[in-house]
Amino acid sequence: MLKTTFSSALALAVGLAAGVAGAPAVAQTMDYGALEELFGEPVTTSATGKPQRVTDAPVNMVIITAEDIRRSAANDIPEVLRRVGGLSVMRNSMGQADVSVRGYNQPYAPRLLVLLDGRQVYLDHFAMTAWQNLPVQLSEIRQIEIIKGPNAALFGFNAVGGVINIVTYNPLHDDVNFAEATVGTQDHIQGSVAKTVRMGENTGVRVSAGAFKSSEFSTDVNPAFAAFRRNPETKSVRAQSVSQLSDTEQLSLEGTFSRTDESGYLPFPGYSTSRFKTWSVKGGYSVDTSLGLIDATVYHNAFEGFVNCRMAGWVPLDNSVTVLKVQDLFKVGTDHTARLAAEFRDNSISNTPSVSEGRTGYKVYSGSAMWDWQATSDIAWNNAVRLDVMDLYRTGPSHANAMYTNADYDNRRIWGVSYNSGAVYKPTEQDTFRVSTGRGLQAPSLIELGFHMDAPLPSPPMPAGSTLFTSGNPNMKPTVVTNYEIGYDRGLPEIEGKARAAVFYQTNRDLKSLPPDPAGVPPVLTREFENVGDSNLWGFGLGVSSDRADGIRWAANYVHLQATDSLSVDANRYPVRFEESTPEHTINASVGYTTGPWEMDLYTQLTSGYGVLETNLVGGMPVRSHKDISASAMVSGRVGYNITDRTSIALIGVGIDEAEHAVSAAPEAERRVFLRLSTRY
Amino acid sequence: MLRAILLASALCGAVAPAYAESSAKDVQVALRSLRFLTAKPTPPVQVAVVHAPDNAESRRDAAVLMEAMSSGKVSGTPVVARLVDVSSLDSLSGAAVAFVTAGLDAQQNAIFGAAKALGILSISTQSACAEAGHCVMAVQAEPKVRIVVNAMAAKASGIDFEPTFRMMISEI
Repeated sequence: MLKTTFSSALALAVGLAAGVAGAPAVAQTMDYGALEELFGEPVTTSATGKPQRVTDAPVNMVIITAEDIRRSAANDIPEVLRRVGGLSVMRNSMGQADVSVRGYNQPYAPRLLVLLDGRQVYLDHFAMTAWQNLPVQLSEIRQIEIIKGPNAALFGFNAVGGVINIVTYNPLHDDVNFAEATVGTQDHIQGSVAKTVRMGENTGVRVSAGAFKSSEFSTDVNPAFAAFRRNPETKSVRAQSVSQLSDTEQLSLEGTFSRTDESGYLPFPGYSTSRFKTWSVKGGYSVDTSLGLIDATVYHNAFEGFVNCRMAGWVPLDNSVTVLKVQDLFKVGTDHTARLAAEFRDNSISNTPSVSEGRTGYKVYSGSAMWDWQATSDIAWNNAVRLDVMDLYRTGPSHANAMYTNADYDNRRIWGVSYNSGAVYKPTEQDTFRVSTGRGLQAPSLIELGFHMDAPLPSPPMPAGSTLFTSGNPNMKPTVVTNYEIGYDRGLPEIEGKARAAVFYQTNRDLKSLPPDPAGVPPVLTREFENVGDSNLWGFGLGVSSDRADGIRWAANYVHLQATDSLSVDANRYPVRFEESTPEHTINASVGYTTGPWEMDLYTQLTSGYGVLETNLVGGMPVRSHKDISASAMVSGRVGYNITDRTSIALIGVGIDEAEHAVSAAPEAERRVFLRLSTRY
Repeated sequence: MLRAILLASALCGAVAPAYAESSAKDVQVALRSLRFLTAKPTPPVQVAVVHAPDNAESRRDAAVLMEAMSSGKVSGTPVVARLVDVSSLDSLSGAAVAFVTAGLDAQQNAIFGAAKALGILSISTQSACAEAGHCVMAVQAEPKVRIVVNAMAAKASGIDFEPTFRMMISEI
């Protein structure tokens, strides 16, 4: 059965030397719906860049389907993600939630790369994801793809803790039209709409829009921070088109705009108010050639915002990123698939508020390759490697207190190699074993690299005119995350379900964190972003689920995480403790039932205690300390009634077991109840 | 109790037979695969079910296949199915797909020769047919969808699949 290594290597070499066998074909973008219907399971390209069935992916991957989202008893994406074993969702406000994969969660969680149809929506200035600000409506999402562990050989910097790719319906293949209205407790009003239009036989266009406003959690807050409570409000619009230019060519275009006002918790940390405004344009061209499927994408993301915090007042922020990437995906012979890719990225923030001119940023040049080998009918091996070279730059005048010159930035280069390797063994139709390793680099954020800002210090206790200068550090090193994992999946047709187990070990080198408590002598105190040491993590996860034809569905998963820090910084100045932010035990359980037009779903999450950093005022000065979050449960539920095939009404409750849930240093999360009317037309 | 025993058996690694008799679900998989041909057949898709009337196994398989297509539509694809006697392969003319029924091991080569000459996609639910190069494609719907395409047989028949599809199935 096993084909010889020599013959396979020869086939690959011959194929590469001769270009690629095979005549040009039709259709470039994947028709997810047709392929899912064919194979009876979700399909993806987010694991390796190669189209795959989810059960073939050589990584620990979960796909949340549109049906899962619809029945999830959630009103936003973070609550949808809460059901996934190994994901931690920390809700800091009605607007802000932070999501991490396998622990290390914190406000503005930086370790999870989030994409919308392959376009990065992760914000590089702070290295965070503003979930409420994403210009996507829940009902236009085909699936949410979650990869646990580094997948940087495909996606580059920041895909270290994990990757989430939100895949929406393709307007060329999917006719998605809906209108939804939601009202809820705490003055919640929400609406979303989408319309797909066919322009001729070869072009599909979808426009979607949504908005919501609500009252912020009214739970207790330190009086010194009460002024930062802000009722959340979001508006977003998105237009997307896909055109079949010819039998072998496709063109896709996308434009988005979104705006959000919300309260939240800063990583510095502290309760604060934020205003975000983002817009983006994206173009993609793909063509099927004798050299393979060639795909070129260019996009520009723009971010403008303000953060209002206790120390500095309203701080303006902006971020501009332009990405150009080209890849060629081709099959060589019958057993080998390869991908070659190159990427350029220009990413910068303005130097405000320290000075009014100039920008700080970096250009990244990347090259990557992937080789997938179907060694036998039941063994596949995938390898990918990527080189990223990041050149920093800074223009404009420097701040008077600046510790670094423009030359310190212009002469700084950060580079690194990422890799992923995974083998999949399927001894039977129902059993899948997976062994994988991956190494990813988390680049310092633009704030960590280049932020220079003065904040006035209170007088007293400080002398009049004293300031706190926060400095970025161009010499920061990227955090290197390496993951080793063994997984086992088992189909359970007897219960119309499946089971999954995984054990993993992860090393994190040169972690970055909040700037330390201030040093120096008045009138100028300083703090500078730094690498703070290492932390290792091991854990395992178990899960089982069933989705029966008789309408009963249930699932349960348990994840154990054990993090151990080895920090290199003074614990008195640096109160950060990653190991405490990682809950050791998390259990998710759900049960659902469908009967006639009725749908009922109940979800429970049990989490052991963990620790977070909080900021309080001592003598007028902000002082950070640890806050223990007790073990807790959170129950959510949904009852839906399908009035017709196209129209439904649902009552959704989030955190219904208690009026308030303490989950972070921010004010406690409140129970929320929503009533949603949905129609598809 | 029985469910518990079945579950325990499954967890201990019991394995289902690799290929069972054809089923309606196999036909669905086969016809859904046509969407990924570079040259898609014009609907309604003309399907020839090649069988041997004097071969009981072939006859049973043909009955299952014909029944699966009897409504004139499979997974939204309009189809017109007809029986073709293995002894009169000239009748394959006009078909886009030739289903090779079970029990025709000795005649598979001849069927493939006739289908190849007419540029017809030959499909079986028996993987051995594709492995031997006597069919372009073998399909299996359960317990898990499996599609095997013989690249040489496809090339000889002038059949080409989209690259995305080729990357997701077993090519031999």
